[in-house]
Amino acid sequence: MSIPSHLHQNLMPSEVNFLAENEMIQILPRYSMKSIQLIGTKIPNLRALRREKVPIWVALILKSQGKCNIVPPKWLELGYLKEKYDEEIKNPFKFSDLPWHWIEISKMLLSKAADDLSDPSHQLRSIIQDLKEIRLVKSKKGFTELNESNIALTGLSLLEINEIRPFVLGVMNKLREIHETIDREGEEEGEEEDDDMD
Amino acid sequence: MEVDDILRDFEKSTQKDQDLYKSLTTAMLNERMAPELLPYQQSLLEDVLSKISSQQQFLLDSHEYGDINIDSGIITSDFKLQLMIIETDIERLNYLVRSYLRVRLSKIDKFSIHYIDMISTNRDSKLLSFEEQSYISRHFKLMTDLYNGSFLKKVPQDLAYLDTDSGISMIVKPEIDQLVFIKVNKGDIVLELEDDDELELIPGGIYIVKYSLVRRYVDIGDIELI
Amino acid sequence: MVDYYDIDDILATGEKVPSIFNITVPGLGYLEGNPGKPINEGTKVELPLWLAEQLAHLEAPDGTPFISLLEPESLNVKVRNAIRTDPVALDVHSILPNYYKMAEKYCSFFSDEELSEIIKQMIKERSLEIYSYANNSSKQMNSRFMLSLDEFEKRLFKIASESNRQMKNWLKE
Repeated sequence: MSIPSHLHQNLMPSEVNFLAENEMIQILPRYSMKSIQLIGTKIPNLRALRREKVPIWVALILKSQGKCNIVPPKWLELGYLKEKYDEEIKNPFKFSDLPWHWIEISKMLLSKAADDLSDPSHQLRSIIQDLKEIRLVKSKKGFTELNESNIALTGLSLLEINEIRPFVLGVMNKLREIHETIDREGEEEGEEEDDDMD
Repeated sequence: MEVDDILRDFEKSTQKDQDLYKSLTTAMLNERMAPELLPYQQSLLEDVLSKISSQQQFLLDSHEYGDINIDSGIITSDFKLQLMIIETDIERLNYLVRSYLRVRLSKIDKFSIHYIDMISTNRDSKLLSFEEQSYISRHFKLMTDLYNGSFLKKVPQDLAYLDTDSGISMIVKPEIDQLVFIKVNKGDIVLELEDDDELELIPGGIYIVKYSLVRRYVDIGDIELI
Repeated sequence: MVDYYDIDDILATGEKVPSIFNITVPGLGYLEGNPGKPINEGTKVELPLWLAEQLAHLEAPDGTPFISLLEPESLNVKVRNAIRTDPVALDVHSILPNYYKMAEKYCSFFSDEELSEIIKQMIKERSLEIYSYANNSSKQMNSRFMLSLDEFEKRLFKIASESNRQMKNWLKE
């Protein structure tokens, strides 16, 4: 069965989250567990209190079973995120450098491993919300620059891209269609009888 | 074989497996975002599918015989957890494969006459898999039978064609000038734009550009569609 | 590139446009309500765009095209000026439900670069407004702007608000 047409050239937020779950994260095992050979990757031998890297989806399963603690990535921390927020304000035309899946990873860890985070959840949630909003405002300002040919959006994460994608591509493709009505290759003019147009 | 060799082999295979996951994700996203059908990733899909089925076999065996590494034959809760992780891994790969194949089907459905023309002029085209080739001809036959049976037989013969090319072409083709989001993997890519303009792409950069300008870089992996 | 099955394109080419006959054609009088009579040179008639386009390309033996297309009201100087002054205030839907498609056809037919620039600017400014409506459902109630959208703009509004809704729902999960 083919995919619904609105999902061609588009992703659902849950699919972006799925991709984020494949990112690696450090865990601190509480018990030992033998290594597992998966198709996509190999989970190493786990020994209590020895840090290992595993895909986030594995970390979340182990965490839910009480088998490990998750070592939060170093960017998921109040001080760091506040710094990024200040950077966003200081550079009105540039997105600060955040991980490709920062929103999804913070959401997953906040809801499933809040006790492993170094700062209180409500404070983290609120700074993440602020960051997300200020970056969306910046994207919106950028919409005035939409054109028929190209645009650079370096610094945006995949979920942020996905959120604005249908609108941005919709507008740009329409501009392109209008732009292409004029044949700019052959420069000769006046071939048509266009005297009737004022 | 020396221990070092074994270790090296082992590392290589782990590396390759991780690449497998990444390649499949990239293939899925490229296919999902490209306006046209991309060449079928024959060897990648064969590799993934055979690994999925051997892993499934391992699961079946484990459920039947328990943990072969433990003499007692008792299934521990740890072992159950491991099996659950393996099962999840299979499900996740399955999802990527399905998403990849389903978006291809939607393009095959939408542009079937166009692609039938294309593979009939180029027989060793790598565009469609064997299964997709038989799907596209059956799909086309069903569609024309339906059209003929429900209304085309009632219109004059010369108006009953589905593929005339005079005036506006009746054959729906993918619009390759559509804009797409890209992520740049390698340096030294300069795109030529209208009016002798150029766009230099920075590695790691994110851009919106016309698909037609980047399709050859997508093909060799220097650019990914996102 | 025109998609043969694009319903908006079909609807847009069904719109009537003013045109003028350059030569007298016997038997075509029914186009202006005189069946059996010829249609005279210089007669203005409203023809659907798909027909007018063909006739304007077809030439009589002496090389004159059968008809010349005249500028439709939807794209005349008055409307162009209104677009330039305040594109957001324009009731595009009441001018033509498939306004941009029609504009596209005229831009390409007459290679009217000025018109294409005006239309591009119009799309840019109106789409910003559409985006802000799509992200603010309280704004949508009883709005004159929402009723003024052309078919392309309605679709744009729909996909933008759908994307916004999906994101909100996912964040709540």
